Amino acid sequence: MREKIKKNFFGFTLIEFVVYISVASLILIALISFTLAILNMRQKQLAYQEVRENGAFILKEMLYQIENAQSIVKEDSVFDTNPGVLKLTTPSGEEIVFDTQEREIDLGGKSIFLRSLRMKEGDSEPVFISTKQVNVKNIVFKNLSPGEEVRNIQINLSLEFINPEKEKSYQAELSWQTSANLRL
Amino acid sequence: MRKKILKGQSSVEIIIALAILLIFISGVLVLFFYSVDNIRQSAEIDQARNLAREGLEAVRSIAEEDWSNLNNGSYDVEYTSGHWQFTAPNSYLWLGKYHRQIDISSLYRDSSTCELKESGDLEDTDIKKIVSVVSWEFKGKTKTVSYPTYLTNWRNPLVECPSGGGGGGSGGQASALTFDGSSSSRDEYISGVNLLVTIDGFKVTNDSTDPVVIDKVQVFVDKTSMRIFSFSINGWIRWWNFFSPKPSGTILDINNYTLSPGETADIRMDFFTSEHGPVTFSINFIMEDGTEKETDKITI
Repeated sequence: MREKIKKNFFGFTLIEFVVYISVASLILIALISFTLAILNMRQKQLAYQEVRENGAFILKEMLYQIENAQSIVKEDSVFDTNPGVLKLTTPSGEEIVFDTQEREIDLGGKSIFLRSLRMKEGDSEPVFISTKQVNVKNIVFKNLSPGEEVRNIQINLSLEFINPEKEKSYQAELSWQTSANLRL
Repeated sequence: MRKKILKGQSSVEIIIALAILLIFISGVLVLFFYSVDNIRQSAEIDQARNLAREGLEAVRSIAEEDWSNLNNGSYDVEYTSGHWQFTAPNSYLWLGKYHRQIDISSLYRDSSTCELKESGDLEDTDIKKIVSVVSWEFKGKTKTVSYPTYLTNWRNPLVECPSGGGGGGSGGQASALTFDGSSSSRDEYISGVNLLVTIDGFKVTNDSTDPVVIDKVQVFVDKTSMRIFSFSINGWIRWWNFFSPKPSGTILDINNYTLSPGETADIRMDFFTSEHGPVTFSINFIMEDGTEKETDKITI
């Protein structure tokens, strides 16, 4: 008996093609959204990390200098005001000043202003102790000493990641509050 | 009959592939959310640590004002009316989310070794254990940061260690020493361009039946220009530093001089100075067991 050869259709029908394109589009859209979400999260993560590392470094430096200071110069310090200034003298007679300065930075060809913290030791030039990626939103020193001599200082610090375009993925702001006593 | 051959993928295969892809994507997403949470949690831990530290510093400030303000119990601290003051624990929400509790407790001494302990009968009122605990909610779970420290009333200690660190019995080896400054003498003379002062004839006796060992001495003088350069016992130089003479109060290591039971030793000290006239001095003897005894002030 002669074998009946079945008719074979190669290629796609229009419906198959439409279904294929729809499924492929859905998968592509999902993949692109997924990649964008990851990139945004990564950016936010980096922004928080930068702010956090700045805060940790600034507070560590300030607390160390306060604890090891001989005295705090009340007349040249600015308390209860943002931005504050703190002037200390070390046991060797050297003066240390923490203050802020506005600085202009270039961000992708656009110039923006931010407030940075700096530290000045003796006669040397002040050095910035906050990076160009963060803005010092709030720095207030409070004199919480019971007597005339300034011995207990409270520090209130808020830092934010620079974000002139107000993009959600760059929004990162942290605040700290702590105190230190002179040990000498 | 020839078997029908089906090429391409079945819908079951596609569903399985999509499921694997979804599992992979959700895994990566969970990992990323977790790492973002981690960063936020680390930032909150930083804030909590700083608040806990502030609690300790506030207690230090309160103690500096008046040591007797430190009573055992649980508190928070707040700055009101120009002072840090104790308030009820966990009464304030710091930075909008953190509670703080400060626990103050007594510490004790071992009656024989003077070692510091968390419990016992012999309370050392010159030292307190302070623990600052900050707690907050993170994703429905309570997190805590705890900082412990010891504060001491070092400016004005009220109690003495019961045995002075053990050895030598009650009061330690130093209690065996008696002093006699009645035959002390002072000589001034010029050597080269320097004015030298010698104090000689001071006597120290071991009044006990056991030998005692003098490890170090401190010599106190009332003249700021005086610098000691040698310290001798029974004619033997036990300490000297001609090239870098030391000011009043410096601890001089005399390398364990043993004073036999009943023995009396003569002390001689040599100084550089730029001031003439009578000198008021005292000597603090530091024994091998760590106990100390200082002579009365003698003017010669």
